[in-house]
Amino acid sequence: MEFEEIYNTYSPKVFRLCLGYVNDRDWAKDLTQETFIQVWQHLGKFRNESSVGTWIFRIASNICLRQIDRSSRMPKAEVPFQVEDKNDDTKNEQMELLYKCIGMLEETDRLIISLVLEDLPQKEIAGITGISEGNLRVKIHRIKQTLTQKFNEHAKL
Amino acid sequence: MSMQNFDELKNMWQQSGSGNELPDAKAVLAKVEALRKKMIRKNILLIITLAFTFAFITWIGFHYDFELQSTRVGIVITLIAIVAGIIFNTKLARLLLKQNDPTLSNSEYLQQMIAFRNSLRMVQTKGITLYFILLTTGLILYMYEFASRDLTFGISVYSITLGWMAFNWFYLRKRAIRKQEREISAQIDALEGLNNNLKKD
Repeated sequence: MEFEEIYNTYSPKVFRLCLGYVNDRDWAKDLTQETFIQVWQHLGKFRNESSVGTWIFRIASNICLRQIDRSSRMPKAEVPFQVEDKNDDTKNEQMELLYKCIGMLEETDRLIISLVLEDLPQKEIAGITGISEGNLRVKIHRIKQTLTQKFNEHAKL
Repeated sequence: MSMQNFDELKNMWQQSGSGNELPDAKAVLAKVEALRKKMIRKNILLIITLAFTFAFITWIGFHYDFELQSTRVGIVITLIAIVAGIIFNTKLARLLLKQNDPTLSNSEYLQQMIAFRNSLRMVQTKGITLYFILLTTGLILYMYEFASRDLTFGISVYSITLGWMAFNWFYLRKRAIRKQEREISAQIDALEGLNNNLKKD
């Protein structure tokens, strides 16, 4: 697969994952770029033992986790979410709320739920995170509930 | 606003995106190329710096006529200490140690980052101690030739230098090690926190 093709297919997905993790558009853009620089550098090591998407999500989520170098833990809960200037319509507001609610989760839960939202099979998510499938199933169930609940609580306000 | 279930959130998520904010593939590739060139330049600069340092040490060793070999040895040891100090202070130590592999699973990656920081901690702590030992030994040897010519002068110069070195050893060295220890410990704690969250149900 050509790099350009890979990039065009996966960069929006990687961007969403990063945005859910850091809750900052510029930072998420940097992380997306960093991910694809790593993808390019390691492409020779990719051996088709997983799908290329899974492999890219592995790199992207590790790049997110690595942000611990840049600041101590990502702030949780009271994430000062960047509200864009001209976002009056409900759809955008809801989307922002979704990202904000994801930002309230634990860092590793943010990554897991982003992969679930991308519709990745649990087996692949287990391979990306290195968690056993049984453990993951429990986790996903809990995070889904928390996220939906948080979203609905805030949407009512 | 009506209650949303998870599938609706999923739809919303998949429709959200970057807009046109992301650069195109060509821009990313250009960045890769720029990074590669920067790395090469850095390596070349490092090699040149090291080559000049060694040339300088050799030149001093042969150029001046010292009466005692200890003076020459002292100069060499002092310079080695300084070069080693520069290397450790410029995060170069990080580059010399193995880099993390981002293609591992999250849990393996976190463990690798923790292991990396543990070895970095050891290298830095030992590095600082080694730096002070080398610097002190080098200066003592270097000064011996001049100090031995005049006893009063010798005693006063040695007391001042050794006093200064003792201050470094017992105060500055301890402080430098404590500072690095704090930074790395905080990072390790944070990484272990991430790893524990990943593992728990």
